[in-house]
Amino acid sequence: MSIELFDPVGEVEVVQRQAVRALQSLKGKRVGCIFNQHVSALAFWKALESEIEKTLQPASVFRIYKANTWAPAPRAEANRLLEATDYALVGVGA
Amino acid sequence: MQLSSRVFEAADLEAAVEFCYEQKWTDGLPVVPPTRGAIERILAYLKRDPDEIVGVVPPRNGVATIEKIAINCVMAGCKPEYVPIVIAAVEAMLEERFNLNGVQTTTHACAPLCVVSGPAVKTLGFNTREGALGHGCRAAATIGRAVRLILWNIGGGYPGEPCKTTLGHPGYFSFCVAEDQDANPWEPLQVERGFQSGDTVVTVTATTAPYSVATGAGYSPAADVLYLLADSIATLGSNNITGGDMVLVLGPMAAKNLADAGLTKLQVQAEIMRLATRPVREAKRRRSISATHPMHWSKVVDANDDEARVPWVRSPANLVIVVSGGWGSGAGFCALCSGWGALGGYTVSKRVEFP
Repeated sequence: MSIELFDPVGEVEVVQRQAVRALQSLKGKRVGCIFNQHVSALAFWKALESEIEKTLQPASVFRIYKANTWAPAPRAEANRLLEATDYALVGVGA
Repeated sequence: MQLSSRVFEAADLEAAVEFCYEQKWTDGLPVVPPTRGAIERILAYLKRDPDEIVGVVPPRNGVATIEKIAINCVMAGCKPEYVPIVIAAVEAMLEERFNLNGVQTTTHACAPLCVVSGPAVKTLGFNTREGALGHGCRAAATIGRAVRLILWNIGGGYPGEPCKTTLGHPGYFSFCVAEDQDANPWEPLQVERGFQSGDTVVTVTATTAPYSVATGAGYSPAADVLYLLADSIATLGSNNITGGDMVLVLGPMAAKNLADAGLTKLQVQAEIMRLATRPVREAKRRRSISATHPMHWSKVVDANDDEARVPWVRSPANLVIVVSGGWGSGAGFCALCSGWGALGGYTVSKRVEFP
């Protein structure tokens, strides 16, 4: 006689997202920078931001430097970034 | 009873156990095949809708329904009456301050430690004596095991991708301990955490493996016991240099030593907090968080004063004290479970709702 087994794996929550708006160019656009301040990426991130500002000359820079490297950025701050930017750099040093 | 999970068939018991491995339904240890009868016994006990959603478990963001939790509890070997404790532990881990996504994916070695306190410790037969943090008790072993299987099967906590824990520790298989209120000279943990003494409460903190501390409580004054406990906490490799929570399991001999010296639990926490420090000149050697980071110890101590003391316990509440274990020898053994630091894994308590 066979044994019936029930699947213990949880269904994955499906999150509906709006289609991403494609940008023709990053030049002169509003940039957002989310950085987790990991010690191993401090110098890299500084150089990256500097290079972005020099070559793409963004109209504005909106920064979120997370106080907790290991936790998500606060939702309210992330929402403000979404409204204030055309594209974002997300830095996860580890 | 209508179950919504997919059903598979295996020829016999041996094939069923192997099938669970093949499906990656277990993390290495064999599991009890999740059969309809066993699942239905849990659901009948719970009297809750199998489709009721308890939460979404990261990093995979799997939906933890009552049915999925029941299935994983069967696989862990839980009796039906253990399952409300597992559900409360899941609810606790999903609180934002626990940062379960981070706990599951960090390179650190922190796993959720479940502390059970209250009347169910006795009624469900938890072992609170010799080996309380280890082997020998079905309730603790299978509740801890069920929590892990839920993190595995619903949360997708697989080593490598996406879980980056460099080494992990044995508590990743099962990590649960119960408080011994008979040996506890102070108020029950659940009362300290804001609940009633008649409540059964599960308290979850993400911690490293237990570190054994020989306090000498059988032949040492309380001051030395406190000093040794504090010394075990303030180690440079501990993430609690950033703050955050930790769990200290006091053996009954150590607890009695401190209580007999007239100390309340809060006084014990405060004194350990005062003692668990290292000088700035030593703390500087821990470089894993930059001095500019908001969590760096220099935010609470003058980094230019080499003799200033850096605290490992930022507030008494960061030190969760639980009394459990055998009487032991005069060594007065205790166990320190250091935390993930201020990064997450903060202690969350939930009342267990029995049907």
